[in-house]
Amino acid sequence: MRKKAWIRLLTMLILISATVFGSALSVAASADFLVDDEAGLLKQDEIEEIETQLKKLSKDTGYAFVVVTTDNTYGKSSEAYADDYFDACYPVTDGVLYLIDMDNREVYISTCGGMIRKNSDRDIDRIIDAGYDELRDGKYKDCILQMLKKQRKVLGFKSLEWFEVLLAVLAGIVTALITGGIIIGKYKLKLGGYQYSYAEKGSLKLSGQEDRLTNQMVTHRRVSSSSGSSGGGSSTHTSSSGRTHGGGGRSF
Amino acid sequence: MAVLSYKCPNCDGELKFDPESQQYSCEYCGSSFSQQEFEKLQPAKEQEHTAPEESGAVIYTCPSCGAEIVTDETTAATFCFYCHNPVVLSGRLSGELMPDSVIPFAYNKEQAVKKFLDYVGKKRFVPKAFFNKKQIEKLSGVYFPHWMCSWSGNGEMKAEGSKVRVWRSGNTEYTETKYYDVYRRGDIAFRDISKNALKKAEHELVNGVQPFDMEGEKEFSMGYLSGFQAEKRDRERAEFETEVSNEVHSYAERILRDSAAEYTSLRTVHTDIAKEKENFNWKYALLPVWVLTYRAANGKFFYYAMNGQNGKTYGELPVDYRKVAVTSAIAGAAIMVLGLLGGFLL
Repeated sequence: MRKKAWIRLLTMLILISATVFGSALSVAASADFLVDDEAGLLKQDEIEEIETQLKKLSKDTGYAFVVVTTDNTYGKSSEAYADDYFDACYPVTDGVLYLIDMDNREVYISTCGGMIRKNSDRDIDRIIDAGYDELRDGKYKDCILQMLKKQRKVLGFKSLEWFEVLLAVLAGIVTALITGGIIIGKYKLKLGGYQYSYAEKGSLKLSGQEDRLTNQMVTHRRVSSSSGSSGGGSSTHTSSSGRTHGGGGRSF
Repeated sequence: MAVLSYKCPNCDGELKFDPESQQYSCEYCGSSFSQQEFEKLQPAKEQEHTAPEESGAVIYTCPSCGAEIVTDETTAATFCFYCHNPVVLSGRLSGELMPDSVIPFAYNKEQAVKKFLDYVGKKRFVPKAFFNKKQIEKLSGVYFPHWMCSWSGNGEMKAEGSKVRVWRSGNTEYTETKYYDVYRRGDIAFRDISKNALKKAEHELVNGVQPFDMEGEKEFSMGYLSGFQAEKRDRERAEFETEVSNEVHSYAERILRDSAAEYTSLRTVHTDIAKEKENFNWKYALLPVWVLTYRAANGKFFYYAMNGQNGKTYGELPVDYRKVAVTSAIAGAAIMVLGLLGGFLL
């Protein structure tokens, strides 16, 4: 009986550890789950859409890209949670983890290995910027997709979306029409002509002037320091497992 | 009504106003006379013909050759069709109708032709070799009658203004908005508001060559018209009074607003132009304009006016649509490429 109980316990332990570590190991090996929606922010088809983008990034760069959402970090900071999660999933491989932390209400991007240098602090800021408005509006799928899109550009994968092409073509057509319209309008005397210049031909001698301050108001908002080219440094820190990570986050 | 033709006292040839020297010159013996000398000369005179007026046309006798000169009702100076002597119809420029001032032509026909060719030459979208010089040489110098108005008065404005200041500190952008009650009061004046006083004039065309520099204004003398065409006014001041008054009041409001240009935004609460203290000062002036009717090869007519003082030209231009299309396409393509690059890189 006792022996049987031991065997039972052992099998259970093996089974548990197999499910826990086995799945983790299989992720590291084949990366078959890339989105872990613990907080339940995404629908199944949304997850698939995001996974497609993550796979594309992995395929093009050879790095791992993971998206995690959580509503409970067990007291950890977003940074620690993201770092530890990545270390657990990919103890060897380098890559990026995007965390939407509903517990601390923070979005955090954790980079590791070769991805640290390729994502400067300014780049991280730009990536968060790209999806920040959507994040605030609760459009989590759009937020993640925007961040991934910006991530591609940061990593040097230049691409054009169909609507960007359409916009550029439209802007071109409008410019052409306006240019032609202005030229023809001027030649046909539909535009221009003489206007009495009241400022030049007029004079005003002030005999009374008053400017009384009635009210004053100051508002402030946070702006990203990102404008222009990437570059700049990447600040790093060490996770609980002793691995070096880069990245950054922002509350929402 | 008298018809005047100015004759050279030395050779009896015709005397014309020469824009280049701003003197009177005789084309035959080369004599030239200053304004003062000219005033002392007695022009050849012929009285108005007794012929009945027919459909607005009035007939005069040329003081030089005795031929009949048929004129419009508004013609004040022209040429005899037969002997090409310049004649001035003084009756149309005296008494009530005497202009207060005139701006003389500042350059002659040759220079006008050159200026016109320069002007169209600089227009890139005019078909090449569209204008031929022969036709352009047919342009004529015409003094157009204008009502000139100066206005003075005073006004005040009450408004609410705001000033916005934006600055950054670290990653935070601050926006400070200050609100003000704004008050302005002052003496306002406008000068040289001009109204074309001829019904038949191509108003848009003649207006298009404005403004004239009224510094060049001279006291009126019939002589300036010798060698040019001139029209007398057929629209009286009263016709323009309301229009000018409205215009002036809107200019006054705008100039008051402009005096508070330091505000980011300004909302006028109340403007008052003191109507009882305002003062309109009207003048009747003749202003110099070169006019040209150009008949294109395809039979289409183009009309041009050129400021006789500074050469500013106005009129509809023929368009080479192919050139416009190419330029537009280039501009459009440039913007498209910029857009694509922008989308690609950012």
